[in-house]
Amino acid sequence: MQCVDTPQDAAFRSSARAWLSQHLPLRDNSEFDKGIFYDYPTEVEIAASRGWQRTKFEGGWAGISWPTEYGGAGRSLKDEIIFSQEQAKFRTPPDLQFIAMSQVGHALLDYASDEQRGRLLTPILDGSAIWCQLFSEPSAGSDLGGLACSARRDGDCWIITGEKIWISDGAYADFGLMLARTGSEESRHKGLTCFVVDMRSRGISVLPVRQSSGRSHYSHIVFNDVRVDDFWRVGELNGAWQIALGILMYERLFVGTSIAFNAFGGPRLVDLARLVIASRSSSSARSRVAREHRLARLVVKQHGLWNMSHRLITTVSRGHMVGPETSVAKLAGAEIDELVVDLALDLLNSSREEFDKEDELRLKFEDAFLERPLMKIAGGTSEIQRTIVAERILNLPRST
Amino acid sequence: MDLVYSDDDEVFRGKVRAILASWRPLDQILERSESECELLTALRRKVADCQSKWGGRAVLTSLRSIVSYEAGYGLAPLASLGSAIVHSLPEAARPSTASDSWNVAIVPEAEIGAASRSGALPARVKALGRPDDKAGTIVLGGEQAWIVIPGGIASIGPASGLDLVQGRQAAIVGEPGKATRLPEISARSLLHSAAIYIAFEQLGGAQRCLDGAVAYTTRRTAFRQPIGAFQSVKHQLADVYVEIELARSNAYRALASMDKSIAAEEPVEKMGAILARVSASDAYTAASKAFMHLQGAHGTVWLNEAHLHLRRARFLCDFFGSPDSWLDRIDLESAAWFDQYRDMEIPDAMR
Repeated sequence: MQCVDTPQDAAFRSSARAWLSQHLPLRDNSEFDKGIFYDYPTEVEIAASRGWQRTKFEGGWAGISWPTEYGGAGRSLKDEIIFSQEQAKFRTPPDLQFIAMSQVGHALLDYASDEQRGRLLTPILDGSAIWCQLFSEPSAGSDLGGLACSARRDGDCWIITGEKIWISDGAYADFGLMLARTGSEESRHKGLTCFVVDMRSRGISVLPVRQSSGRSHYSHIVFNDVRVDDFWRVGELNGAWQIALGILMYERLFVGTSIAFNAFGGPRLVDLARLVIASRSSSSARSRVAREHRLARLVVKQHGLWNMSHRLITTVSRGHMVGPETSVAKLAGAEIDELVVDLALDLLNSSREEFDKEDELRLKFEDAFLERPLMKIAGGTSEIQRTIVAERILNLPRST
Repeated sequence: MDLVYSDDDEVFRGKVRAILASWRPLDQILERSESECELLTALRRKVADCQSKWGGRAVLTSLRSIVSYEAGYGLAPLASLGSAIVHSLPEAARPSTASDSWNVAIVPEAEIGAASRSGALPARVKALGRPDDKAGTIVLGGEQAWIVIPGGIASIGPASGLDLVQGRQAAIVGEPGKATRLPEISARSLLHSAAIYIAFEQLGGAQRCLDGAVAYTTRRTAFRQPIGAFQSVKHQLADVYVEIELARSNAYRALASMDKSIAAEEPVEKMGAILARVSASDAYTAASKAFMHLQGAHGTVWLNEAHLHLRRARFLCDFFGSPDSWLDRIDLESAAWFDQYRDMEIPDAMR
């Protein structure tokens, strides 16, 4: 058993790193990291995100696994993951292309018509199109069969009416991939159709959702008789369920293989380790041992998560798709993050003299404290993840 | 990137599992039809036969880890601790003895793998067995290790409360002067590799508990549906699955690291052992508790194997150092454990 790159992987990783180092500085873990659910990006940040995507496109590093006919590099999914891991080591602009480059883009590659792909995919790769995913609604999130936002036929168009909420990137996205109800309420998931929606269309209102932090990451989007040409229907009428499953599968793949390496995983643990070490001198032997065991146990769990990501990548590298097992990474990642933040705040709020000058770190962990409930909800709640594990991996029966 | 067993390894696993399944050791233990020691000796003979037919591949760490895992899966009350220790023998002995004769994964002729938790070599050590027997008994305690050659045998004392076999304090009977004390670096290396194999044994036990709990909760009905359909039951088992998969990931990485150390003729490093041992202890503990609990009162009777796993999980959790004692060995001052993991190109990540 090995845990090193093959010579080919190592060569690709090396060339990716060399190219990245020519364009970006290395990430400094001590820098303030806004996390995933911080706030709407500024105009400058949006422009920088598009610009970085454009740079990758021009350098031949955008869409590593996408077909060359759309501007991709035509390589494997494994290579795409390797590039993402390398990119995570550098200080990039906010990644506003994640949804487009991961689940939405791959779903379009699988399910969109040739003409749709020809018009939609290259603008994703060259940074000119930011996308959002229009799934959740105020009264239906985990249960997609309960979606109510409707699309009714009007000649060659569809009229979309309803609401979507908890939409990442919704305030500035150029396009959205939407699940809308085209069948009866009773038809549940068999009455859903998938549409591409131009987010600049007349009838769309975008409202920020103010979060517990006081800032807004998500948008609440109201569709008031928005017209969408039938050309932008993806797949069959009432046939969106398979597409939705495909999107969720790609989301799990990209989140599952990156969750252990992204900003909130390791760096916060490193910050925490620094705090624990610094608190040694002012701690009793008993509290020191207890605290260090808490930290060490988190280190062990975080390694489990890292190593699990390696196993997922191994699966992908052998040409297989990963499935519900990525729920494990999400469940474990959210739990570890919560425990890290708890221990850090225990220390930072303990009135220790050595932490008087740690205001920036305190703010960082307080933000994380408010952000972390979202980690157990976004992309499928922890309860949904446990049910996925139980029913799809352990094959336990569904409730009657 | 290759963090998975090969197809050949999986074929070997199938053979080992088939031996255990056809032999039904758990039934024999529960029905007390044979003594544990006889069963253990017979098992070793069978597995050794299987390994020898495998064309000498038995020395590979991946196959040893499979034997440990499958022994934990199918043989909870009969410790495979002995095999775990003997698995480690070639690596430990190599720096000083460099002899192919140590490449014995399972020794069918002797009761091996006796362990002492006392931290000191028992006063009297007597070499039993045939003079030409290359097998050895290893006595481990704390971070010290001795190899007793040739062919030592441990007598098993009365049962402690929890573990039916290995929970008994092994009393080594023999003469002093027959033991070879390993250099400290070899002893540590031995300790680390044995800890990794024990983690595989724990992992196998945990998987057995999860499989058993899933089977029972799928079969058993209450309130007109399988109890496994209740969300509270599903979520308990999902949490156990998560624990096991994290532990499996750490164990695989530890094995990869050990392979590399052995190939480079270097001591097995501690980080892999720490990660594997702590997370496997957590996983087996959680799985064995869930296995008993989810079977209700049925899970608490003698003829249900759940208590065997509960005992074994508890015993192995503390054996060879408790999880806390392993956690104490992580160098928290150095964030190298983070930086090296971030950089997947560095194969020495388990330092």
